[in-house]
Amino acid sequence: MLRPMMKSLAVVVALALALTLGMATAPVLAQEPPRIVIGSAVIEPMPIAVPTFIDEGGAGDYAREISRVVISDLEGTGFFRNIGEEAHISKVTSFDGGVAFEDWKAINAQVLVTGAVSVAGDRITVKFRAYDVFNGNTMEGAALQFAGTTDGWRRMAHKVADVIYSKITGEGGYFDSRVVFVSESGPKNARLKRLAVMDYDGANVAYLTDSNSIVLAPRFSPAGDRIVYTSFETGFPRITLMDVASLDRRALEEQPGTMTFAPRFSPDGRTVVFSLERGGNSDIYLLDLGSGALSQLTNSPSIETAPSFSPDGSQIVFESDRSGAQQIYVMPAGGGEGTRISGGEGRYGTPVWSPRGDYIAFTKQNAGRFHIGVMRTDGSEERLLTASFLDEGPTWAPNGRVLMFTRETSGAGGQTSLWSVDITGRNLKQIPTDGPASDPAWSPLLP
Amino acid sequence: MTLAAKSLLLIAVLGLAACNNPDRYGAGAGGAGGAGGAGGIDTTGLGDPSNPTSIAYFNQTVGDRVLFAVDQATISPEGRAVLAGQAQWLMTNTGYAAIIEGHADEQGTREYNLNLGAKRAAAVQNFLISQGVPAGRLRTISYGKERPLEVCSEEACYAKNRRAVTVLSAGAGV
Amino acid sequence: MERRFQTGTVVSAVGHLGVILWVLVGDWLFAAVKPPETIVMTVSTVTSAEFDALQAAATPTPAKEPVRPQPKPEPKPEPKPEPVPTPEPVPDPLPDPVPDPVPTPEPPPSDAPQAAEEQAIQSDSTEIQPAPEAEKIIAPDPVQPETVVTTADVAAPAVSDQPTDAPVETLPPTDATVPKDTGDVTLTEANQDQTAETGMTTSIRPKSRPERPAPAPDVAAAETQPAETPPQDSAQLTVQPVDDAATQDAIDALLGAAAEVPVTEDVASDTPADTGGQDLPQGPPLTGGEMGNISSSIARKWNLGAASTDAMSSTVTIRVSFSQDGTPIDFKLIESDGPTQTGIDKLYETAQRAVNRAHQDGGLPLPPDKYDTWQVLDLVFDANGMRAR
Repeated sequence: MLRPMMKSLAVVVALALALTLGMATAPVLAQEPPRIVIGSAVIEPMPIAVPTFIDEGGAGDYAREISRVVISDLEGTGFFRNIGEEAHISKVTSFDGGVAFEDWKAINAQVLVTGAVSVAGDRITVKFRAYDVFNGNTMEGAALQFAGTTDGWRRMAHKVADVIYSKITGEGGYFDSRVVFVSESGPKNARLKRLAVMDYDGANVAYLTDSNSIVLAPRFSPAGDRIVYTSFETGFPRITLMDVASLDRRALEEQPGTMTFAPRFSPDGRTVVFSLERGGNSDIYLLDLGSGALSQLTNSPSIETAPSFSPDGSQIVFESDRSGAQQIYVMPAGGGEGTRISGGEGRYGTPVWSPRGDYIAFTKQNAGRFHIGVMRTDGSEERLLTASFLDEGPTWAPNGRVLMFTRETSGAGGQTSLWSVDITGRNLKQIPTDGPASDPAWSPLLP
Repeated sequence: MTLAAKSLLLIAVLGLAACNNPDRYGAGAGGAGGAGGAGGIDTTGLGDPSNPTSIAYFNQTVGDRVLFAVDQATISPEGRAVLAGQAQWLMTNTGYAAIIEGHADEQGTREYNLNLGAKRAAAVQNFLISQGVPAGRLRTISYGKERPLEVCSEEACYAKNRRAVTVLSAGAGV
Repeated sequence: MERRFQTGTVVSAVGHLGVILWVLVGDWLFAAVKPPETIVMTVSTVTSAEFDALQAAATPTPAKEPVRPQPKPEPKPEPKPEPVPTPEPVPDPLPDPVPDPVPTPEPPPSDAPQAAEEQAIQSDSTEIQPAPEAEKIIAPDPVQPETVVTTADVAAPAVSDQPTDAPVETLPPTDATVPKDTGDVTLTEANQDQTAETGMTTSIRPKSRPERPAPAPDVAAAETQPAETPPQDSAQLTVQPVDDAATQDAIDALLGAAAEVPVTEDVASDTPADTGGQDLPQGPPLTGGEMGNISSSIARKWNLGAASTDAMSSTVTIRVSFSQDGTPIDFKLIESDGPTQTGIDKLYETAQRAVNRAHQDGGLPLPPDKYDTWQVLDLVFDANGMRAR
């Protein structure tokens, strides 16, 4: 709501400036240098060089593996292309030694990342520097050192990559994060499902439940320490809360004759918003985890589900078929009628508010195809990023730049898999998982 | 697990094998049975389909399911006929309770389909109640698109997956 | 709300002030103003200013060089491999204990008969692996891999009127200068060929050759030097303004030396002040074709592949100073617009990289005889406009 206003204000200001300053200072402008507009650009990965990190003692394979993960993180964004070591002119042999920038310029590296790893006992130290090759200096804030235990080496690599990514692009990082999802097995008509978590890139999978009962759509708490999901463990669909560390879990709402589903945490982590169905009609409710107090936010004889808070906690976006088909609505966090924001052809569901607050991601179903898309929070600027037989359930990376979602193939052998896509629609790719997987939900950036 | 329970299961499986879509329905029933068991209702033998008081008779002759149009939860005229038969059977055989499972085809998002399945189950439940079946003997559950019966991705399969199935269990009186 | 109100008031005040200002001093200000040098490349008319500029270019006087006080091209700090600041230690990340893989024996073959049944099915299924569908994006957004080009600056090199018009109107001086002048102009009009021959520009070159470890910059530099053929060279090269005083001295000296040419005197007296309303340019204007070439040579190196969404919604105008051999030596951000400062900063970085890379990969097509004009250029990088669907 604020944004368009600011924009139009900006236009007014610009106009006023043009009228006053522009005209009044025209004579001065006439003295100014020729003005040339660069009217086009290229969109291609930025060439960077990440020579294998130096082993500064006892690092062994860690140095090589950490370099590999850093490169994989950076290249995985689609923003960067690592220039292979075989093309390097000079070798980096000492972390604090000089850098021959001309050598890196010559191979067109825009950014050079050097690093060193040392290991003592189970302690590992990783330090790195990112250089702006043309300016011949270290990028501001991009010379850091991380220390931890060796079993956390991947996280350190992700942290290094996060800093580099964010210094170069200006976006927040997202590599040091986890994804909770549903690991699937079995044929289409008897799928076995269990909760699992993994690093954002598919590594380090751990299972949180067995596959005795159906589990759906897990979501992380804002601190990443708890998960809410829908479980059939009690025999009926129930929203369930799990502590990630202890794996303790409990059903949150057990009113007989009802079904609860589509839970999601509020930004402060103290309440859970979800759907409660009774007699075929569902509405959105808010449950205070501390007190157990339940409040009803919508009251409509239609399907209201998939609620998601705005990052400031003031609003909730959800889907409803009150108009006759699934559409997306926004209401105050305290409940209310809601304002419909989706307006295109087809059906819109599973809205998710970006952690940056600027976009709402959704699933769109139209003409027999499914799409993942984004729109502004007022419904404008709708962009579809993907299309397939069945794409659904987007989740935002912590930096609000990348979406992960479920893709399912058609037919008797149809299987699910996890995919990610940049919000520009570029860099669509599958996340490697051991087997079929669905319903991903991204954690916040880890501390 | 007792020998008796095991044999009951065996009978159940064999009985299911006689259905129209034995394997697939078996898988679906497995899920439902599990749910029913956890919900406090025991699974029981299907009996002889020629015995009008048997579950097998209910499933095959009366008809245990109704189908729905795309994205709809209203009961068709054919469905009404089937449900009327179900109601009559339930009124006659008062020793049975039922769980009504609602299902959706795969063309829809997960949460929405879960709700759509619930609407279908509720529609059947309401109809049965309107026919005089005591509400206390009926429960509903939705599986959304999680337990399709047919696995192809064509309308022929979807049509069979958009269903509400009345699953009987003995022992839960009024 | 209050803030919006305030902004409104400010806007209104600014607007009113502007109008009043305009009324008060508009006439005086706009009396003899040279039409602002716009971005436009259509060069179909010759203004008096342009004509004067032509004249200025024609006169073989070095005086106009020092006249430009603007950029103090500080010798670019050598990229000395300084010992970088010691890495700040970072708070130990303390990797979270990864939740132990739950000791989950596969569905226990326990009491639940159904589970057993399901398990059997599960084992069946392991063979059914997902054949990941080949990606089929039919996103409405053009998601094409490489180049997004929405050029606005195709310089349709207008058939130069300059040679034709200009001489006719007011060029009495010497015959010698006129032909020379036109010669210069034609050179720039047809610059593609000419400059390619002289090695001044390689902008026609297709793409860059990414990974070749050839010492490209050296080659470029070597090439540009010989390109400086005009006789003025020697004079130009002497001009290395260091500070204002020195510059002024040099200007004075040169003025004294070259005072006999009226045109140069005009230029000289005009520029140092830099405020007067006089409208004499400091060099022959770049033609539309030349500006177009400069624009596209930079555009080819302007990579937004790693730009944030905020950067993509921003516009920056940078003032770039060039040394005589065409090396960009100083960048200044002079105008910007965008949702966040970070976005603006990052876009500014992409703009600098673009200019640097364009220079490195063959150099910018800067007409050697117009150093005066392109010694400082304002380059507008409009990522927001480009993204327009």
